[in-house]
Amino acid sequence: MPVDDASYRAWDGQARPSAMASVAIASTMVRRLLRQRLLKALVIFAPVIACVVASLVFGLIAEGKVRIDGAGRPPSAPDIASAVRTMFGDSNLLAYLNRMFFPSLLSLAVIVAAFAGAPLIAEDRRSRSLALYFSRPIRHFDYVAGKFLTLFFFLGLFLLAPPICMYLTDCALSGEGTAAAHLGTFGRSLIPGAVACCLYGALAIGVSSLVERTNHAVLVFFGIIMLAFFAGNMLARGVFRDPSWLAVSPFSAIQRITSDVLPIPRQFVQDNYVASLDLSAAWWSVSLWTGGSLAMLIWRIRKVEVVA
Amino acid sequence: MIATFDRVAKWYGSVIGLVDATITIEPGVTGLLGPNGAGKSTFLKLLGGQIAPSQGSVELFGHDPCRRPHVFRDVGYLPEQDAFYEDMTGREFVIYLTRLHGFSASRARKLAEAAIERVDLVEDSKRRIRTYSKGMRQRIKLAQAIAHEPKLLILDEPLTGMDPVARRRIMNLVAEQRDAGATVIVSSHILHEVEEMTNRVILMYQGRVRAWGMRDEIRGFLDRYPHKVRLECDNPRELALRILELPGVLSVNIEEKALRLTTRKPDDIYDALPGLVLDHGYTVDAIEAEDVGLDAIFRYLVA
Repeated sequence: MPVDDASYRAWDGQARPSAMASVAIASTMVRRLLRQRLLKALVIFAPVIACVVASLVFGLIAEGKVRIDGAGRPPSAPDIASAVRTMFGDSNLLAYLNRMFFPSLLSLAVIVAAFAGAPLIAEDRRSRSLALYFSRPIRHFDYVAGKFLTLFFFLGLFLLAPPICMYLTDCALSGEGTAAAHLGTFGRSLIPGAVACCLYGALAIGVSSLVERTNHAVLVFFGIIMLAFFAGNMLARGVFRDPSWLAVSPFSAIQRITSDVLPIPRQFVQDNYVASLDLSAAWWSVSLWTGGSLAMLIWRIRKVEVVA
Repeated sequence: MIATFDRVAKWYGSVIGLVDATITIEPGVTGLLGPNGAGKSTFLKLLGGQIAPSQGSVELFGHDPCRRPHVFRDVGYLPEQDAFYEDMTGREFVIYLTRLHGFSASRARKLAEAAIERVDLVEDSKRRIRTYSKGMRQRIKLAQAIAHEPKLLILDEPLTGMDPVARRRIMNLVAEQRDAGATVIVSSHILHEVEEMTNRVILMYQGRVRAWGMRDEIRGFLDRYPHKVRLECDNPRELALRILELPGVLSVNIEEKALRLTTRKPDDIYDALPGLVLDHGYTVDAIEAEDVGLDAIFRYLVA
């Protein structure tokens, strides 16, 4: 008797069980991962620090204690000394705040992706929980989507919450008209975070699907990022003496994209050499890393029989 | 019919998991029997769509379970191995897996709590799974399998690690499911466990389905092996003489207050015995068919 036969037992669950499965997986996994102190500290750290620093900077500026010049570089002693005399160009403030955060956020996001993403599938494979998932009316896609949502929650909180906090602080403290005036800057400040979310998310979950132990997944993820970073720098600086080879590293590629989409002068990108990387090469790198990771994940999920 | 296997084979590389299985699963309780490595788990994984057959086809509720996961909305599965998030409480675990059937959080909570109550784990359901004993783990796995009130319950070695009281409870629960109209497939390598739950069995050995159907029917087909019957009586010598006159009786062994006989036609013995007792005044205290149990059937099948 087919299950869609009218005489079959009435179904009183959701009309499409799989539609809610991803949300159920994500919400439960987020709760579980938040039990890890390191992860909890990291995701709370970013937006809180962003709010505190933004408020502090805005407060100091409002009181005329700090000046940020038009170039948007960090405040120095002479800047502070002249803060009373010169007001800043407000269009650079948000960019300045973002610039303060993004290099360090992007570095720390690797840690968040590793610790939040590594266990997501590896743990299921090790504990043979996949058998329980796929004895439910959910598709492989729903399962993977749930895991992605979980990781996006953490990476999003870490990479997207700070710009949002800064923007809200900016709107609250800079007076009328700021929200609309700074919307473009705000929008651009979300792009690097979104790109990093996709790339690190795909790579972390792809790696997680390859191994059965969480700590192995963490090591492999860090290993790939580090190896690509050192390989890119070695090829670009030593072997070929061509900055295009920096695109081998997803980390460098994201840094280059960040320097482009945010209105930050190239000289403020942490590594000036990265600024000489061709932008299209950086986008290609990010696309290939993300696409490759997703392809690996799809291949793995399709190939592996869940409990064999 | 609930499920069909049509010439199904499964290999793990060069290792045979299941060979040429053609079976129909009917409603009711079906026992899946065989020693370790017989292919029981492979059979259940194929049925549960968790592995694809190397050859042949499996249908569950008329659909390929590998391609149509929606068939699982009415399937409950208890895997043989522990498959837990150890940091979750038993209650969280059951609620979570029930939600994957598409229930809202509040409905899933109610269903999970009812299931936990049925497996008698209410008091311990708020403890983390890592603190559970083997028996408690089996029970919480059973709770997640029955929480959504499935039409088909697949239980892979459900009684492993359970104490006698818990075993009895699970057996009763299987009977409840059957009475409620659910189909239950239960695997075990301990024959008498299954014997207590059902007469319909699938007997497996070395990756092959050796026999399937009702236990008595299977025994009836095993013509090569005469049936053994033991009679406890007051005058075994005289009764033995009478019985030897019956057709189909091959041998009789006389004991002090009993006799053991082998026959190809046990029904003839059972038909004739009341007449013998009445005509000659024998007293028969007990009649026992010694090799109709699954243990004997299995022994004959793999001999």
